Amino acid sequence: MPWRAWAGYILKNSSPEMKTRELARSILTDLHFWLPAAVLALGAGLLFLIARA
Amino acid sequence: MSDRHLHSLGVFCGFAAGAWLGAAEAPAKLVITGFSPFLISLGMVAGVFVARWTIPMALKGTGFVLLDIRQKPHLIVWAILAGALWAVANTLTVFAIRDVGLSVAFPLWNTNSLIGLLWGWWLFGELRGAGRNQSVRVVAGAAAIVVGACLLAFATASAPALGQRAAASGIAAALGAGVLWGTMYIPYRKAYISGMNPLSFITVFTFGELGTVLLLALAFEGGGHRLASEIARARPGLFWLFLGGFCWVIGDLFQNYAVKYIGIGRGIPLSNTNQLWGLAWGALVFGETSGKSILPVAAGSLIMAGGAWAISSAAAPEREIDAWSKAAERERARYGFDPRRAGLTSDRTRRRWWEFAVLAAAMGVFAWLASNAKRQPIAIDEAWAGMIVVASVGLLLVGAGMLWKRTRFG
Repeated sequence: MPWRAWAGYILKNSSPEMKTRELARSILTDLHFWLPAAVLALGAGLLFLIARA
Repeated sequence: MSDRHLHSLGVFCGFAAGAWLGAAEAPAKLVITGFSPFLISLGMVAGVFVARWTIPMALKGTGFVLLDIRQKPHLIVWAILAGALWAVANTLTVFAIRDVGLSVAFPLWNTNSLIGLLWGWWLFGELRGAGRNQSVRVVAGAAAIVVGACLLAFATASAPALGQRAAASGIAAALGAGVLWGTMYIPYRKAYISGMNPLSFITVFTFGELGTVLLLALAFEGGGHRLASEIARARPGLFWLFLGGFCWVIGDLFQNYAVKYIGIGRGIPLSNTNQLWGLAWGALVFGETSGKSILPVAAGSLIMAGGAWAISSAAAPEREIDAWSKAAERERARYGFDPRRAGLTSDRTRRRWWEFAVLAAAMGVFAWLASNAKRQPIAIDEAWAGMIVVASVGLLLVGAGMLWKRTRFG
């Protein structure tokens, strides 16, 4: 699966000092990730409503 | 290099971004009628994607970009997120223009600079320790640019007759686009305080952008077959959309350098002076303001220029730079990289033969579309168009020269 290869690449090539799970946890607990992701989800929802109206 | 030199470089990049982002609107005007919002958005984004493989790749080469991404691979997530935010916001603006007209829609989505200012202050320490004088200049300058944009938009565009439902959906679309674009600067700033090069960030960004807009077009245009036939129908106008995308790539690169060197709070309002350039294209080249009062146009332009001056004179003092450094330190501690790590050496910027082949193929796409393009039935003042193009190219050359001399496009 390409997405698995991509995720593996990200996790493997990050800082050598960081462990894989630690990096994933760092991303998933980062407000800098969730804030834009939440705004994107809301924007996509709004677009869906407007386009279907 | 001194902080003052970097500030002046960032300010210049902000102004150059305004010129090229304004120029990106001009070709799109030629094909705005008769096509769905998704198709217009897809055409521009495809142009952005192809243009990405021309000038920016020629500047640094793929080897440099790949190594830069490899050193901070977690930022791939944010670059794709930023591309998706841009694509959804851009599609929302097309709906907003359709439903409430540019005069209402533009001021609403132009609030993106205020949203960016909020995120910059909250998440990245911008304006922290700046002192009252500098903070007031930046906030008042950003507000003045929004007010100036409102005046210009009301003066130069006419709103369609609105149904209540269309008005509500158009206003929601424009406000939504403003919030999405303002939020898109979070990934930008995050990448640059981590030491990533804008050329690397934009490379990944375009994948997120093209993937999202393709997904939207497939979902809302009724599948691949229908989309392909719509694209075939739009082919005579596709060159103009691609040209808009090309201008957008240059403008966005300057915008990224502005964000890198002076932050979101200062860089984004400056690049929002694109409205002045859009006005120049509309009024002088397309004759859109003929028969309309010149007073609000002059007032809007002066207010916007005053706001831009206020921001450009508000260089970040040492205490604010310290706050930026703390935000960068947070990234380093969280993701465990060293922003000063060596590795992006000159041999990585050496081009390989296949990079020139990709470059030639990208230029070939533009040439092929140009050979299929039909001149649109719109009157154009060619003398003014020539002068604005010369001014924009001049800004591009001076800006590129400054970036090369001071940072080697770093």
